[in-house]
Amino acid sequence: MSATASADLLRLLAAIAESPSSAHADYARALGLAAPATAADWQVAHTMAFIEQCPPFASTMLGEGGQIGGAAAARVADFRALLGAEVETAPPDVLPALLADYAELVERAASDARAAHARAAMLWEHLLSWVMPYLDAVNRSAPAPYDGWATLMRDVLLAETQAVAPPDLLPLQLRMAPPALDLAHAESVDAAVRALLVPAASGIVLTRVDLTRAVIALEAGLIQNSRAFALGQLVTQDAPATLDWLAAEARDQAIARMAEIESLGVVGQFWADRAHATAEALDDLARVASARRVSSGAH
Amino acid sequence: MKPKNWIAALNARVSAFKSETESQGKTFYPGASRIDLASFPPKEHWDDWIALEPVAGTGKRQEKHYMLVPTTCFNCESACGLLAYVDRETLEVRKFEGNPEHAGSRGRNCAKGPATINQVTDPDRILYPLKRAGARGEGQWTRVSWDEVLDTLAERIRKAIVEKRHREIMYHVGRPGEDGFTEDILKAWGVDGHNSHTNICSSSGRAGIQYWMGYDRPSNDFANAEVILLTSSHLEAGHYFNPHAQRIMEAKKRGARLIVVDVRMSNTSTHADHWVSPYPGSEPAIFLAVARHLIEMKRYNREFVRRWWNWHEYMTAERPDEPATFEAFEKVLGELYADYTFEYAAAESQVPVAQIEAVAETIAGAGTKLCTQNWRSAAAGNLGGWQVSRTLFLLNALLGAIGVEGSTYPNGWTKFVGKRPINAGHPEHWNDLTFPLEYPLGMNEMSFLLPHFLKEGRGTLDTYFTRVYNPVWTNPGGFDWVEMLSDESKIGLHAALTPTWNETAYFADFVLPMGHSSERHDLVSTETHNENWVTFRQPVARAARERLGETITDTREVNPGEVWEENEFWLELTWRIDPDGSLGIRQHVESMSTPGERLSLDEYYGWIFDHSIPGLPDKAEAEGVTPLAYMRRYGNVSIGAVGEALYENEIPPEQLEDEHVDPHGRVYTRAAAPPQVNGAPTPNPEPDAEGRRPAGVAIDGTVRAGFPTPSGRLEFYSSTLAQWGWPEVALPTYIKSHIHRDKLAADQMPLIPTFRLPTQIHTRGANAKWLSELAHNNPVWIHPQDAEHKGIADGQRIRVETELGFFVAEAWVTQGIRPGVVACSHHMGRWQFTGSTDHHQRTMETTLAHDGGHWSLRPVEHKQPLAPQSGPDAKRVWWTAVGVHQNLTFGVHPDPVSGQHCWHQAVRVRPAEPGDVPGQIHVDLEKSDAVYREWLAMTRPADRVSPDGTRRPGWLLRPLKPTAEACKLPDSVSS
Ligand code: SF4
Repeated sequence: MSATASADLLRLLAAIAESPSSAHADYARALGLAAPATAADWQVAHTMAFIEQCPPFASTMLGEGGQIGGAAAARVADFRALLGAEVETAPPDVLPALLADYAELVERAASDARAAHARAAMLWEHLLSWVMPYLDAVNRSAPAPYDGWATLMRDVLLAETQAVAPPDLLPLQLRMAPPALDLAHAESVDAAVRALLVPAASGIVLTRVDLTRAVIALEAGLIQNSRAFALGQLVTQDAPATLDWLAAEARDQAIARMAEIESLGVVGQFWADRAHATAEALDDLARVASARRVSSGAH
Repeated sequence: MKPKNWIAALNARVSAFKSETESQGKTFYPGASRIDLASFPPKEHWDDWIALEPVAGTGKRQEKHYMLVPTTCFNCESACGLLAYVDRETLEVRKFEGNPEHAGSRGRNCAKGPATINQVTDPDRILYPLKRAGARGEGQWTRVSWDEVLDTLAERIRKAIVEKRHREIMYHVGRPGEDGFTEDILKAWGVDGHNSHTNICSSSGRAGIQYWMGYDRPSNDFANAEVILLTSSHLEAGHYFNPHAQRIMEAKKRGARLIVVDVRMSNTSTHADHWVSPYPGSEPAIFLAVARHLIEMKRYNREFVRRWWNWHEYMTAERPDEPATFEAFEKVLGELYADYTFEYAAAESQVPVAQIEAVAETIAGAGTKLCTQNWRSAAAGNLGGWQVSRTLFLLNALLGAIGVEGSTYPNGWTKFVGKRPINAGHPEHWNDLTFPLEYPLGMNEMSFLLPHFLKEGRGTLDTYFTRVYNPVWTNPGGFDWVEMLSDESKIGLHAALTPTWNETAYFADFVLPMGHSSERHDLVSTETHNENWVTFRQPVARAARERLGETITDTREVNPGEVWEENEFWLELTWRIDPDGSLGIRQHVESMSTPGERLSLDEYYGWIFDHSIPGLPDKAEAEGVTPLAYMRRYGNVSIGAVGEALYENEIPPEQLEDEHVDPHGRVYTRAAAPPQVNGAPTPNPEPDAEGRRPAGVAIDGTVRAGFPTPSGRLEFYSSTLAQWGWPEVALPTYIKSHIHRDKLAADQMPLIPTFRLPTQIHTRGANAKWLSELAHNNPVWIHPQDAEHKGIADGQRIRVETELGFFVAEAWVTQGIRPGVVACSHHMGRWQFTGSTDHHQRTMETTLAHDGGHWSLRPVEHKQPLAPQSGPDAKRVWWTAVGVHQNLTFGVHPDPVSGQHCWHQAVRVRPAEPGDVPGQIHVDLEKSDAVYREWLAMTRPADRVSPDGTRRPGWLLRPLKPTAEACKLPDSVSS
């Protein structure tokens, strides 16, 4: 069996994702990551990665509305409370805290069967259930060092799957995930757009950087607003092209998820299936939108 | 491709890094810091916190260095912690956020906390002391020096004291915001001049609790409760709502059930498992039906009731023909409440039987983890409203849910007030203008009747202070206040101490600019949960400059303009009243370390922190600072969790010297009382006939601490009420409100005017632009059925006719109010006169006119509500409404027992007449007199009912406690 990350390596990966401190440059050095030059640059990079692009919460990936909190966060909180973690003061499902708990379990697992059991549960139920598409998004959207951090995290966690085999049954977090998208029956453009931005339902993650890519590709105007608003505006401006772009993006993400199935088993299959279904649905919608445009004579 | 052993290599590198880090004496991994997106700047960075801020117009950001200085919010009584972000370059406060070190609020605030920055930077602020020019109310002012103000006031007050006209000095407070300071000053002057707003606020809520357990406020352990019963919209408003709301939500997350009793749909009722919307005033009928259910089903805590209720006293006094046994009492208890069936409660409240039954079952399942809360709401609205809180607390008393985990606690346990260095005796006279004979059981000063008392010739005032209080706008019958304040023969000098302009300040002789929460000192503790803590409000610029090594001795040095803080003002005024010490006043404010000099606030608070706050000196020492420096740095200190069931504490034999036990088990002793560390307001039950002090209560052969009530037990039966003229309401019972259906004409409906807008701050909201944007109107809520019946459409102008006149408002047709009831929120309808000079506040420009007793207020038509005329905000004020000042049209309704103004109104609602404009008011003051006399006639004055020749039961709480001689009925009435 190949090596897995030490508890301290996991802790350092957690620490570097927290608000930048004077120690962050040392963390980056130890992890072999490119370090921003000044404290202000660190703040900018951190804000860009975790506030503007990819909020580091399980609930934003797994929850019903793609927002912080709710039942998905409560499940994490309950689990961490069972471990004895103090989960009162912060959103309970923030990634650095989960990693820190996981590091603790890794350390104890060698000598404590219950900790080993909890480690497996934590890994599959509360980390790998959402973190791969999330890290992929960070890697696409965050500046250094967090793009590199995401790659490193991904490799470290994939190595964990060698030590802790995937479960046979889908983790509860994914069993309780919102149903797959039903774009064909969405009440409105707004509703469809909001649904697309719920990762567990759509299987894909669309960050602001992703939307900026769309804007460039579509030669549309850049809209500085919420993702839902910006995406809604793109669809309104040019539905066929936007839907085409989204379908291609969903397909790319589905391919990335399929590549993970070997390591992630049912969890990888879940995300790949959802992303794939979203790509298909978007293809259909794009066709309908094009047909409408042709029949209405619009250009 | 990665090398095969890359993880092992990385592990090794991390391990080396860990060794290197630890060899330097540093921590490799300090644990999850919780410095994530929702957390706070860690306190070790408070001296130099770097934040990135946008540079206007560049799309870039720059580093900004801040000093974070804690203070305490002043915008409601919760006293939440704030962190002021003080710009290190300019030493100006740039914003306020929550203080994570605050034990009550834990870093969280409501919208009003951060909006403090609006108040601080308000362009309309009063920055200098002003003196009236021209007649009172003309709105003409000249700037004067603080010296002139102080000398004028000191001379008048000194003269009044020397001439034994102590009663003519009055201090009338709206937002207290500090524990005890001003009371201490008044005591130093020997003046019984404290007048609070409490009788328009929480007196009835308090009275119902005080008659049970002595303490007058509930304190709630919401976080650990199983069932929470709120008679209010407490998740969004009311005392301590922000610290409470966060704990209620924690309990809900744990699975606790939430019951909300509120006529109106609020942001609180939407979170409830049971939202009960009763006909207003019928709440006690519901609570008594629940009590009956507990009693009948034998689901009450029998052992608790047997040990802690004063049933023996009740049986002896009221059932002399029956055996004074617990079994006999239980039988009587069942009989007493037999009529309060679910069906009866449903008929009174118009709430379905099934819902009342479901609520009763939920409560029955709470065990001792029932947490109930009522502060204003129904208690403040109704005649007999004090029985709302008394019948509500009956449920706690039946379940034994008092002072134990998850229950309702006495606030005297969870609030902490330390000893203070200013320590004069109590006044030697009794002020009839605040505690008149007609209201011997009045919980607090009869403040809102002052204009009527002066009009009747009961007295005059030489010097009258209003302090962060706006009675013209806040109290019922504001035109009576305008009339009184305008009359120099009634009020010799009126000084308005206020941080903002208000309707009352227009009728002042001096308008004195006082500080907001970041510009003043106060020490506060509130009963937010099962923990004692104190919080320090401080002028943050002063604390910041001191951190940088400066010495500041007067807050005016750092405040904007000449804004002062009250505590320094009171100290200086006291010093000048008695410059040579011949009146025995000056010594109370003399420095302890430098006799001959005036006490400074550093010395005052330093003394308290050194001597009166347990554990604080140790915490400070651990950080190598003085206790004062510790509080200036963190703003809050926890004294620790409060024990459970303190009433069960055994009294040691050495505290029972010459013990005497009365027939009901009250134990008296001659042993000196043990020193009290916590000076939170606690009643002092009276000594026995031989002068022994009450020490506890004998329960099953053991003397236990008990409660600070006359009997030492929970008073199901109040001998005080029975002996002071109200025997028929001495038990928890249902008093039909003045707006009970039986008392209304067919075309009248109740108006609920008590509820608050969660983002407003009484008078001071108009000066907070963010808050004004959030809430700026108070339409009248009316149910669609009623609207249809009256031919009123949504948004239509309506006239609401009260006893005194009418007001014009807009209708809001909504199912959020029950049919047959209308509601209009507090907080809105701020006004100022045409012709006044400042035109920035979000108030309406009005004309005020009167013809004899007929007063009217009319917004100037075609004028937008006043808004900034220039600057960026001129474009941002998009809203035009300011609402209506409905209180002007309300007559005074003092409850004959508690003294509380009973706010609910019987009104007629109809479409407005042509020419009516929203905000318009008309009032006939003759009717105001008639309403006053009608309610006064319900009283049972002390000279008729006092059982012992005193004016008021001596054990009841009172801010100042005049000497025994002063408490006696005056010779003129007792002989
Ligand atoms: S609840 Fe709001 S207004 Fe009241 S003290 Fe706290 S932050 Fe201030």
